Amino acid sequence: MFNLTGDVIDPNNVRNAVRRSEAGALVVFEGVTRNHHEDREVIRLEYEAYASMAESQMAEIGRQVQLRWPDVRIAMQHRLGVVAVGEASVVIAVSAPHRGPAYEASQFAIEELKRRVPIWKREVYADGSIWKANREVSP
Amino acid sequence: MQVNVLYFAALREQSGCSERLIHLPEGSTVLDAVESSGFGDAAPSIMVAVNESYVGLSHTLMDGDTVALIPPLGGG
Repeated sequence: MFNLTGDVIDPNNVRNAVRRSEAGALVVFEGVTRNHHEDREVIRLEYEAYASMAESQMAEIGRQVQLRWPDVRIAMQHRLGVVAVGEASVVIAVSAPHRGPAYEASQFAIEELKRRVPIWKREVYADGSIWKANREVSP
Repeated sequence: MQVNVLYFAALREQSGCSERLIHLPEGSTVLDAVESSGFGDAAPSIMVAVNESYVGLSHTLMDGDTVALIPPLGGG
């Protein structure tokens, strides 16, 4: 599962895509809209994507995870449109026989997503909004 | 030759459109397409994908390519 959705993400769907009896560890990362950026109050985030390329880049991250951690299974879902404070914009679920690789692969996946998946966000404040760039170095 | 340029996010707002066909001489590069679409100044701060793969500014374009101008990312 590597896809975009316009709906609220159900983390259980993403978890269940990787849950299996060989896996003793299941790690879920949720990226959640935070209510502040430095000292400004954030009201919501608004996401858009180059959809076809975003999904293929997410799948490519999945392939790289598989190569690097062969016993891991991963699923990723990213939401588009308005994501209110406290709601998830992205959910990444990783399962592995043991927790070390699961934690590592989970972190790798979110770092790579921020670095290369063509998705953009507007950060909306009470008195305006900006296109907010990630700090990760580009591919 | 003809390529389809896609604009996203801040670049879409600045250009006023989300896609545009542009005509370039055979052998033109991605940089030529970026300059032709009016974003030559932005070239150092954007990435470019041709047919959904990231390429460098010196990549040579072919007729019918889709060139996506990708401003700084904000996923996750």
